[in-house]
Amino acid sequence: MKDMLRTLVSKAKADYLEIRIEETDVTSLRFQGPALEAVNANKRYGGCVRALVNGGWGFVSFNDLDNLQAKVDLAIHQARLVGAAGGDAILAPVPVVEDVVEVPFKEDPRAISLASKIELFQGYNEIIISHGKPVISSSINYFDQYSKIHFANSEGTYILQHKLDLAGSITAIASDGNTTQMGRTGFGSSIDFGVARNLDAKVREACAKAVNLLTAPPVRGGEYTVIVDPDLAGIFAHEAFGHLSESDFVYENPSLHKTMQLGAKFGEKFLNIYDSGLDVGARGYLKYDDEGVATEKTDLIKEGILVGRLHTRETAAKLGEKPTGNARALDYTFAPICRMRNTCIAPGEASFEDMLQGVKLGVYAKGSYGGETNGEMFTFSAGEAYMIRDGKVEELVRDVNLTGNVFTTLANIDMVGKDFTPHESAGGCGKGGQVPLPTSEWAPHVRIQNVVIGGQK
Amino acid sequence: MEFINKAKQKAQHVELYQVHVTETPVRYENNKLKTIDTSDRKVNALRVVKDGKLGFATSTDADLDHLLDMALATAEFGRPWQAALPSQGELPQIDLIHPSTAVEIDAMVDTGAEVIKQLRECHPEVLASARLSTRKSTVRLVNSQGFDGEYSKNMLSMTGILELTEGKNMLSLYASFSSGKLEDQVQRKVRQLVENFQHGRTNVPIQSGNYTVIFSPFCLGDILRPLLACAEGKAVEKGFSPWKDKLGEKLFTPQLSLYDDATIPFAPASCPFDGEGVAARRTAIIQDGRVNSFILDLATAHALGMKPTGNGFRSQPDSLPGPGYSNIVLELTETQPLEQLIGSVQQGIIIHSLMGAWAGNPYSGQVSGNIDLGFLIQDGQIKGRVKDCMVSVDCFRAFREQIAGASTEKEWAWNMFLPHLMLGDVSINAKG
Repeated sequence: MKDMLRTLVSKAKADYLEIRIEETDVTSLRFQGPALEAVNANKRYGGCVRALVNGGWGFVSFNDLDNLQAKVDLAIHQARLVGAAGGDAILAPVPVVEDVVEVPFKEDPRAISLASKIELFQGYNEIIISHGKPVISSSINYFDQYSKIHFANSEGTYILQHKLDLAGSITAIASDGNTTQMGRTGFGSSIDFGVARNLDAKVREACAKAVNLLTAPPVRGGEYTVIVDPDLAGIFAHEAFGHLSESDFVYENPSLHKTMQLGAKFGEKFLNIYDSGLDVGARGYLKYDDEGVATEKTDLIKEGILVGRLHTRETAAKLGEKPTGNARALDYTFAPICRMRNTCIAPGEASFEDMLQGVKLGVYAKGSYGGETNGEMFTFSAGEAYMIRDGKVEELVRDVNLTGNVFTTLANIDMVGKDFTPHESAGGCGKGGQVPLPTSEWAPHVRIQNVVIGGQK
Repeated sequence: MEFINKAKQKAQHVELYQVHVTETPVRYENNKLKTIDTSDRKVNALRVVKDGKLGFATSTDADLDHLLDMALATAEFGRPWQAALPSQGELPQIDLIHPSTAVEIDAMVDTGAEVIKQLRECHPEVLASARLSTRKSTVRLVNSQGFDGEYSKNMLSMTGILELTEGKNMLSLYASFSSGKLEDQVQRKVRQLVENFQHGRTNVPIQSGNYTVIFSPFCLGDILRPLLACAEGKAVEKGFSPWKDKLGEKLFTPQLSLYDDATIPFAPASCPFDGEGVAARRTAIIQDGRVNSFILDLATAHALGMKPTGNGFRSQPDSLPGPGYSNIVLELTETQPLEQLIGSVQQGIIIHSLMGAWAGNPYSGQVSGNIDLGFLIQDGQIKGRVKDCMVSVDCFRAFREQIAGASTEKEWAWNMFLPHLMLGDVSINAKG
C-alpha cells in the first residue's frame, strides 16, 4: 500500500496532492426494553484524493479502489477548474513525517467476544428493566470502531494511523402514563473498553433521575445565575467558544478577525481554555490530523486573553499563523475541515460551596443533551437541573435549555471550580455535514451570571 | 438472484439491500469557487434470520460471501425475528427522475457564480457561500420471499449562505432546497436570503413576555418534533410514547392533519418501497386532530399486531431499517395568504430559524430554542431582528389550543412540506 500510494502522489501533476485510504470495522449493539434490538457488524473500505492546483481544490471519494490513477486524475481535473476560476488556497509548511501509529490500548475491544459485550450491557439493561414502575423501558447503545488509515501526500509524508473510537449511552425511561422522562449516563474512550465496565451505580442513578423528573415541574423561563457541572461546562466550552476558535470562521472574514484579534480580552484572569489532541484515552485524542500534521495542545484563552486558534494548513497560511493539527475528516467521504479535539476549561480555585454562596435565585444544571452555535449565539441543554435558592440546591426542575452570546457570556463567568473532570460521552460534534465526529470536552464546575433559560414565565 | 439462493441454504430468511450513490457538489466559499468534489459510494447491507434470530452486516466491498459470514455471526446473538418479509407485490409508480436535474458541472459552476454575484449585491462586505449538488442513487432490494425491486432517483440541491459581521454583531442566513425537479427554487432561495438580509440589518430590542409567533416552514419542524417522536413506532412498541394507547383520541384541534407521504413526485424522501420492500403510501398520522396512525416498520408492526405502514427506513445505507418518516406534510383547514397573516399581527415575532431546539426530551412536549433568526412584527410590519432570546412552546398544548392561523402557501423544508404557522400566547425570554 505504502509504495503504491507514494508512487501515485509523487508523480501527480498538482501543486499538492494527498490520498487517504481507510479500512474500518464497526461493531454495534442496541437494547431497547428487555430485548436486544440490534447487533451489527459494518465493514467500510474506501479512499479519497484531494488535489490543489493553482489555488483550487478538487476532491474525489470512492469505495472502489481499482484504478486509483483515474481518481487522482479526476481530482486534479476538478482542482484545475477551480484554480482557473480564481482559487487562492495556500498551505502553511509542515514537517514531512513518516510514522506508524498504533493504538496505546488499555483494553482492546476487539479482544473481547461479542457474547461478553452483550452480557455486560445485558447486565445494565436488567438493572433498568428490573427497577419496575414507573421505569418502563431502556435504551442502550454501544459501538466500537477500529480504523486503519493510510495517508500519503506529495510532500513525502506517509502515515499509517490506527485509531479506536468506542462509546455508549445508557438511558432509563420512566412514564406515568402522561409524561415520559429519561435519565442517562454515557462513556467513551479511544484506548479502553474498560470504561464500559462497572457502571452499575451510574445506571441506578439514571433510573432515579428518570423517576424524579416525572414529578419535577418545567423550569420557569428567565435570566439566572447558573452553575454548570463539569459535563455541561464542557459542552459550554465547545459551543460557546470552541467553534469560534475554528479559524475557517475567521480566516476570510476581516471584520470577525478584527474582533478575534489575538490579545483581545474575553474573560476574567481565572479563565483558561485550550484544545488538545494529546490526551491519550480521550475520544478527541489524535496523534496526527487528516492533513498529516502532528497535533498539540493549543491554548485558546489564557488568563482571560485570546492567545490562539485552531488551524488547518490553509487557514494557518492565510492568517500567517502556525498549523495546530485541527484538520479532521469524519471519514474518507469527506475532505478535512477545521475541527476541535479535546476542548477544555482549565481548573480554577473555587469550590462548589464558594459558587453557591450569594446566589439568591439560580439554577444548578447538570449533564448534557447537547448544544449548538451559530457563531455568535449558542445553546446548551441540561440533562437535569435544580433550582438554587438562597445559596442552597433545592428542587429538581426539567426541560432546561440555556442560551448565551459568545462575545459576552465568557466575560460573565465569575467562578471556575478546582474539580477539573475528564468526562467522555457518546455524543459527537457536527459541522459541514460531518457528524458525529468524536470530540471530548473536559472542565470543572463553572459559575456564569445572567444566563437566559427558556420556559414559561 | 443467485446469492439469495445460496444464502438461503444457511438462513431461513435473507434480504440484500444495495445502494449506489454518486454525488457531485460544487462549493463556493466566502465569495469564490472553493472546490469541486465527486463521491461514488456503494454499500451492501444484508439481513439474515437464522434459528429465528436476526443478523445484520454491511460492507462497502463486493465480497457478498464474506458479508454473509459476518451477518450469520451476528445472528447468533440477534433479536428474535418473527415478522414476515414482503413478497413481490404491487408497487406504486412514482416519478423520481426529471430531466431538469441532469445538470453538468459547468452549469453548476455557472449557477453558483450567479448566486454568489446576486448575494454579494446586498452589501460590499458580505460573505456569500453556496453549495450546489447533484445526487444520483440506485437502490435494489432482494429478499428470499421473492421480492426484487429497484429504483433510481436524482436530486438536485442547493444551500446558500449569506453572512455579515459588523463588530460583535453577526448576521448569518441560510436557505436550501433539495428536489427531484428543478423549477424556480434557486431564484426563490436567493430572494429569501436577500429579503431576510434586509430585515436582519436592524436589531430591535425585545422584552420577555408572551407573544403571537409565526413559525416559518424552516423552523416549524422543531415544533413538530414531539409529535413525530410520539407517533414513531418504536417509541410506541417500547411503551415510552405518551400516545401508546391514544390511537383515535382527539388530542389536537380538528383543524390539524399531519401526513407521512412517500408518494409525492420528485420529493426529497419519495420512493416506491421502503428499506424493507413495503410499498410506499400516504399515511395520516393525525387526521382532523385525532391520532390516526403510527409510523411502523415490519418489526414494530408485528410487535404491535398492526400492519406495516411502509416506513422501514435506513437512516444511513449501512444502518438497520427502523421506523422513520418519508415526506411530512402538515395541513390546516383554515389558512390565509402569508402577507395577510403577517399583516394581522399587532405585536409579534416571525421566526425563520431556531437553534438548539432539537435538544432535550421530545416526549415531554416542551421545546425551547434560541431564536437564531427572527423578526419583530408591529402593526403588521416587520421592524427588525430580535436576538439573544429563547422561545418556548409546550407543543402538545400548542397544537390543541394555540393555533391562531396558518399560511395558504407551503414550502419544502428538507423532507417537510409546511405552511407558516401562527401560535398565540408564546413565551419569549430575553436578556435584561
